[in-house]
Amino acid sequence: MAVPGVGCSDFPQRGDSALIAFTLRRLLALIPTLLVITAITFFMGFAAPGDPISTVLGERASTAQVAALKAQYGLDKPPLVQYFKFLGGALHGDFGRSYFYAGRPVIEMVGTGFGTSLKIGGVAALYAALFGMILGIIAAVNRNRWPDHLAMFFAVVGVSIPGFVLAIALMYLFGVHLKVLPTVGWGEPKHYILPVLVLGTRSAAFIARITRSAMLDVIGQDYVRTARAKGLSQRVVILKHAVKNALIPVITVLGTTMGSLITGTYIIETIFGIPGVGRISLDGIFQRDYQVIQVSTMLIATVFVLVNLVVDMMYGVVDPRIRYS
Amino acid sequence: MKKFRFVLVALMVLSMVLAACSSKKADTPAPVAAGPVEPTATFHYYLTDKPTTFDPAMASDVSTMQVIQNVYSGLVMNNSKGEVVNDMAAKVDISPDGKVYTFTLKDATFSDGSKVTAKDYVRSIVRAMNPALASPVADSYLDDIAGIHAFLGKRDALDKQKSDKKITDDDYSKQLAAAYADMVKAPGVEAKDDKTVVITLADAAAYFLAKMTYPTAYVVHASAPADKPIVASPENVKVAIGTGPFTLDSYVEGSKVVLKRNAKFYGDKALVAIVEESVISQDAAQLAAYQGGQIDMSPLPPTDYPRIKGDAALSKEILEYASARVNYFALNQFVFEPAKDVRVRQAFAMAIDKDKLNQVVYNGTQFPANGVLPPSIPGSLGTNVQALKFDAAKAKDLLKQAGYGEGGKPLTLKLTYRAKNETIQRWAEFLQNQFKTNLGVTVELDPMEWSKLLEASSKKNVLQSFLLGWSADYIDPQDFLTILLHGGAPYNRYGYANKDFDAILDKADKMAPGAARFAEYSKAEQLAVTEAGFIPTHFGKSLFLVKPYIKGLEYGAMGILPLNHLSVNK
Repeated sequence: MAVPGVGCSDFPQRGDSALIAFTLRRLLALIPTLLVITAITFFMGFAAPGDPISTVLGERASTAQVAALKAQYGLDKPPLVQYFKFLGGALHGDFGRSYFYAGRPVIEMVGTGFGTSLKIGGVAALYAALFGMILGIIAAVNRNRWPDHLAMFFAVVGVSIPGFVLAIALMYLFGVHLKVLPTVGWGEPKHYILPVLVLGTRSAAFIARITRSAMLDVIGQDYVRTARAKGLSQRVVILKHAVKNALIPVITVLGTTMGSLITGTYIIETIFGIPGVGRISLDGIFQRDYQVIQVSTMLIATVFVLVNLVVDMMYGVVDPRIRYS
Repeated sequence: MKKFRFVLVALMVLSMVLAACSSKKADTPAPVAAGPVEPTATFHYYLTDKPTTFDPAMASDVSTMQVIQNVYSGLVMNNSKGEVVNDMAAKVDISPDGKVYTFTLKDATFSDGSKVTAKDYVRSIVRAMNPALASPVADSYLDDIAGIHAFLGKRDALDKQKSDKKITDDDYSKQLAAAYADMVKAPGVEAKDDKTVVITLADAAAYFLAKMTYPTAYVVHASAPADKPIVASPENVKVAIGTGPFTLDSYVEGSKVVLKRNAKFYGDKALVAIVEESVISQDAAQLAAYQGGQIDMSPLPPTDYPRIKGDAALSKEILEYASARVNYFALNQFVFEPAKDVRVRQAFAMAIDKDKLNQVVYNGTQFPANGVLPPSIPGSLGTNVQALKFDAAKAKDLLKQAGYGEGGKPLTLKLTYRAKNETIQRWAEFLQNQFKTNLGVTVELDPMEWSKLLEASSKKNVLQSFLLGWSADYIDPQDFLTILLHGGAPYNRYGYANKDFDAILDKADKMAPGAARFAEYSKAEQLAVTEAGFIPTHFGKSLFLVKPYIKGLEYGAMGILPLNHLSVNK
């Protein structure tokens, strides 16, 4: 095994088996996690007042019609029977059909929505990470000077403004007054700009603050002083020595925000008309569309587990002292 | 090595956002071949919700109907005045006993070029009733047809046996399938020849043609699966083959429906080449898209109405349109004993200042309702109704005569309404205040989750009083008076019972279409108003903003915009 810190090829080999075992363990843990989650959401769905059939029929729901449709969809069976039917179907890749969207396979609906949220959330996460870190580094390097104040002003504002307020403000500025960006629609690159700004700004602001304090902490450490004493330029000291060691807290923050960014946000998706999974899942709850609630919850849970796994793996990459045992 | 690790970190971040930059190009519609007379303009419209289905047998909400009614079509339709007129039918003959309807078809083709025959109608109507489709609407609209009527009777009996556990699930399924198979053999809809559809009713029903305007009676292509709905998915734009003025061109799920002019349409061909319908749910986003020029027409939320009305330019773009909807306050006689006394009901009706309600809660954007029938429904008394006018003193007096209120038994009432809706909350609070001030009745507010409220109100014996509304399923007074207030109606959730009233309706429902029939409904309406069978508070009005370059806009009475008469004159 190569000695850490020597040669580019050390990482994939170092602790290989430990890392694989760690990953497998975490992936296996997904199975009971998902079972518990499906059970909880399923029975909570039933405990909630109302049912999907009344929602579909609306004001014209008569008792005879409700009974006929419930029988047709098997909703008149005991919840436990319905749950095992769902599980049985899920094991065979059949996640059921939507009640509200007249028989649309739920997996297609939620899958399409998830793809959309993943794209927009991914870009937002990238924007938040890059912009936030750059801002944080600039602030730390220029501590107590105007760039620091400016960056931290942005950070405070960014964290404080609620997403929907920012969304409406940007919409009116760029869509109504300047007429340079579309405020609705989905599919073209220009449709990303406003939602990404709204989605990512809060995280960017948060990451900027975290990066700044982590950087300040690192800059004061002995090895940075040593690097400076060696006569290295400020750029090399900051980018090569300081930034990397300031990454751990930033990754932690990224991990927590990333999960929520890519699983979609109802309000932003609704305002900008983005057909993402956040909207699909919340509409599913309002419409009592049980299968949609099930599948989107399972998917969101899986994403959170996977994102956390990736974050844990990144710790090891950034800081080789971290071991997966 | 360090560089390598740094690159690796960056790669891992990137891998988490892998799909980010691979966004597909939007499905921009292909430009229509520019012939000398072919229109080229695009109309940019909106949908408040994404369509729930591409199947006419399943359509039940406004956004879906907006798509369905322009892509598919049927024998008859409503014109902009709400009258039933011929669509694909060239002629409709009704037998003297009012039970047999004979439709003669025009020459028409599906958008794929295949000819429409009478057999297509038989198959489509039978298909809509297939239990495997589980249509939420088909039985309401097709239940008058003889074979279907019999099938529904059997189905309801089976449902009852099932809920009483007198039949196993397997037997239920088998017997239901058998009942459906019987119906398929004799549905009451037959193709006499290629051009003639004959429909036989179980009993005369003058509103039958109005029901036939609904998409459940539209014709679908032979390729539509008999036992599966055509779900709203991007792939299904090619499966949803209709006979309407437009064809489905593309669908970005949950975001945009693109319709293309159907050059083979048998009726008035569209004056625009493309209609883009963007799904925008949020009020503010609809307005922003309109003001930003992304859509040519937008709903105008009542909260923005005063502001827009005050705007010199925008106020000229307001379009107001009466919708066929009544919103009501119901005193439930099944549960709230005092409401059995007509004086108590009248007292509550007269204690509401409906004009003030319209101003305070709705910024003047609704119509105060003195009658039961919205003004756009034929037979509606409109302003000729002898209303129970707002009169606090008289209201108090009536309550006193009934032995309640001041000097009598104190009255308290629980008022249930839809939760989490700001406007409805204010509607409820307004009534609470009116009943307290004008009647001395204490009202306890009980906001309830929407689907729970629907369930509770349909059970009849749960709620003391509630706020709900009713939108026309088809443009006919029967859909309001008989459906909501007849003693035996499943939707009579408040226990209004008057034999004279029921007799008028029983007669009118079977009369030949025409003015004499509508006059009967006017009589019934007056009776329901005088006796405060239920207490309407306001009729719906829809508000829109429309760009001045859109011409020929005529809203359908059901709130659906026919897209083949409008033009874009930029």
